[in-house]
Amino acid sequence: MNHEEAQALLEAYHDGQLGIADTVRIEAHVADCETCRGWLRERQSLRAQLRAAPLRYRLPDDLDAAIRAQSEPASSESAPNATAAAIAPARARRPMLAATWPRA
Amino acid sequence: MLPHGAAAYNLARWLCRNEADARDIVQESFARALQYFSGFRGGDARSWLLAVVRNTARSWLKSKPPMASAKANSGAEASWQDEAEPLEAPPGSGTPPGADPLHAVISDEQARELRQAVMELPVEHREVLVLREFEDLAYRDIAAIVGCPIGTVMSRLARARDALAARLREEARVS
Repeated sequence: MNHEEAQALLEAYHDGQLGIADTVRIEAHVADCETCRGWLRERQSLRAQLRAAPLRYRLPDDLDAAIRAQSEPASSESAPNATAAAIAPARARRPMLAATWPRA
Repeated sequence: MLPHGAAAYNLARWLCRNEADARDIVQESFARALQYFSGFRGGDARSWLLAVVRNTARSWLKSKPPMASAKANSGAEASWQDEAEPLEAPPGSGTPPGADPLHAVISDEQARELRQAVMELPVEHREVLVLREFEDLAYRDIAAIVGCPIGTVMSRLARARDALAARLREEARVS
């Protein structure tokens, strides 16, 4: 893998989103490339800071209680209605699910 | 059951940038989700719910009156700087530094600057960053939630991180 090919895949490598073959090829390149190692160090540093900072907003207790109460009746329903079944079919596989997800 | 309230609220809060609207968006999202959820048996319920939250929030952002948008974009007085609102302690924050190679020590001031920097990202970049870094979702799941190709998820993440890294470098230089 040359440097340009590696650069195109570094973001996905940093996120652990590459398959095994690309991972092996990119690691072979990174071992010999100080530019790519420096880039990865900067990304890792940013991630460490994002994880160290309190950046997740905490669900307010009253809102948590409200949505749980709101969700109760539906969770006890056993028979899906026809509309719901048409929109989100039982045991739908991911591509079909994605296609039927609500869009704005 | 449709819990995942914590993930739903965090996403809504980051997208609309204020507490009152985030609460409304979450409640509306659960109402919408419950309309369809009784037939939902397959796939990842959390991702599916986050797609509903994302779409509800984006509809809300589009319908905002221009005055509200102007105010929200006015910088220092922006409505998202309500720091009194509770934020979760990051996972692992009780463990000693050094125990985890990715553990960083960050000051309150640095955390505030980082939060501000993320808030000021364009919404297309902010949403993928929140879903990746805070919800730890795969590119494939983020692509389904946002409704774009996987390659676009990666390029938006790259731009979001480049912008944050540049801003942190600039702040380190100034201070």
